[in-house]
Amino acid sequence: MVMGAVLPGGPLTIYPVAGAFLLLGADVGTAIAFITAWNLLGYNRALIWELPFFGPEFVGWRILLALPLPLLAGLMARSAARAIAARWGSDQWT
Amino acid sequence: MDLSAIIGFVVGVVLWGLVAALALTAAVRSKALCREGLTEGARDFFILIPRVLVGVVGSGYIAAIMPQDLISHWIGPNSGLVGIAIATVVGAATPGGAVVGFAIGAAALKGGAGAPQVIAYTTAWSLYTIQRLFNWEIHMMAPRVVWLRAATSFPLPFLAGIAAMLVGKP
Repeated sequence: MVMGAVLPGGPLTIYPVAGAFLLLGADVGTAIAFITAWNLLGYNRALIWELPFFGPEFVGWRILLALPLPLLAGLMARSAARAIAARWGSDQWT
Repeated sequence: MDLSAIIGFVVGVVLWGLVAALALTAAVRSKALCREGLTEGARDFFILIPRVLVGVVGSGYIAAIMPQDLISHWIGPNSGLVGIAIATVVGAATPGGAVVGFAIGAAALKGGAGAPQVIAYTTAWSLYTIQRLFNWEIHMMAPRVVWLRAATSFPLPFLAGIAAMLVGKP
């Protein structure tokens, strides 16, 4: 999640990195927390695009409220993946 | 000075401080690196500024032509959970790159939408941007990961909007 927030770059870089995480054996919850963090907390987009439109107070609150969300998405994805693996016996996510 | 002006000032100081620290780090490593960073940054600046300008000014005009009574009725500050749900669906369905979602969100905010609803809108738009999902994500990762991500993202805009409603900010 921290990496998703601090890693710069556009969709061209972020999805291959997440895919590489999965190939290297990261669990799917981690990869999804990473992508969600990039979507919601990525400073690149917040600084360049969001700030001019909404101003610092709105953006600050938006980011503060979004902080727990990647963690939540990752945990939900992890338990969903476990449930799927238990039901259908496959834990292949790459 | 009111609170938002203070926040704006602090954010400005922190950002410029970061720029200065990074420039200093680059200069310490090598003069050429520092100069290269400066030219690249300047080039990006001149490419981005017209886009941001078009987006910000454009969102002002969108706000002006949006039907205000409709906006405040459906996604206004008193629209509650229904407003958050509407904003989430519209946000997920909004196509476009970096500017479009924020421009529409800012326009809606000026046009009488509630802050929690706009937060739900931008959150849904950031998470789902349909075009990014199909152009990038589905080609670069296993489809089932993409669907799992889409499914786990579903409650997030609601949670962000409800949290904003509970804290009463921004």
